[in-house]
Amino acid sequence: MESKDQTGEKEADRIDKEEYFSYLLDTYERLVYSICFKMTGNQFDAEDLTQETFLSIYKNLATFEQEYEKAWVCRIATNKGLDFLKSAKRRSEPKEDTYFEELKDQKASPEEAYLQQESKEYVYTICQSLKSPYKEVATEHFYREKTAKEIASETDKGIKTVQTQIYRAKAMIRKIIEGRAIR
Amino acid sequence: MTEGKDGIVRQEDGRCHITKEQFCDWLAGEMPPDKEAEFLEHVGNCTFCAHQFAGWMEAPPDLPVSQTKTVQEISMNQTGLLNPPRYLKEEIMQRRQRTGVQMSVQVREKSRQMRLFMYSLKVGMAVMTSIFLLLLTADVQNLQPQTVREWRTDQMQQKQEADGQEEWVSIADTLNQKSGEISGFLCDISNGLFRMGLDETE
Repeated sequence: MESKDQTGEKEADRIDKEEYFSYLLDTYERLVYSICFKMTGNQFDAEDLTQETFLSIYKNLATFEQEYEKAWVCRIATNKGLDFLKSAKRRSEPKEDTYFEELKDQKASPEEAYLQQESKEYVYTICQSLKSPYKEVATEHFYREKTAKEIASETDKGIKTVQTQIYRAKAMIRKIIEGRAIR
Repeated sequence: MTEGKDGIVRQEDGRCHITKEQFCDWLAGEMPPDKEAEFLEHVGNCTFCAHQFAGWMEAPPDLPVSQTKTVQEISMNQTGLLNPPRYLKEEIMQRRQRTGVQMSVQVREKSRQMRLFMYSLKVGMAVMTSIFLLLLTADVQNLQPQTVREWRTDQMQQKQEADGQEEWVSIADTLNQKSGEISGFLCDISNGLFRMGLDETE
């Protein structure tokens, strides 16, 4: 049976970890997001990768070397980004009959596509291309950067409803982005 | 780590660390895909380069104007880092509290404790084995054939009779006696340790 001291120690350890994680999130959120954005090329995937990175950090806090925290955080973000690039490459592997067509398409206007993808207007355009009610929720969340809680209180919807709509909107957006990348 | 004439920093094993020029190429999107994968894999595996990389991300080295391609990249070059959406932090904090994540943390924690337990068990087993071997050796030394003992006793008696007064003891017997004493002493110590361990567990 665990003594009170041991339980107290564990609780203190848990609080320390939570505080440390908050500190890491505050300090390196911009760095991780910037790395992920550079690697994914769009806000939606960068958000997901940033979340994945920090969850991985959280899970591995027990074995974390605090002396090299910045390098450690950067390594995790880079490895997550690499996994993303590999899976994105697999998804967009061209089929034989469409290979040359795609090459031609890619050469058309890469700079324009890049500019479009990376601008805030791109997020707005994508959100607007969804059907209602996902269009409204996605615009408020991804473009105006409102939390699910804020949207729920403004629209008198349940927070679970808003969260579900955001989740579905994100899935639709991902399909749109993948479709554009392959086309 | 050594810096060559080409300005590339090399590790002891001959592998190269990333350079500022490579980082600039990557940031400007001018790195070929295969080189990019190699570059990022190195950053993902090398603590030194990851630290360098993070530093350059925070304060990018000066790039030629022609290399800055996009609006986001220009803003990244000027300010260092991009600002993530406002809700991202809250979402991370919420996802962290989900049962799956917490369970994963606990499993990792338990597996760490389990590894520690297994290590202690191995050390304990090694100590037990060495003590057992020590005791076994002491017994083997005592297990001499009867005939040899009798022959030795005869030899000693003859010698005593010949010398008349002093008790003659061979070197082998002295060693045998001393090693028996040492093994007995070690046996007492190990028994004491076991008793202490038992007392603590009780």
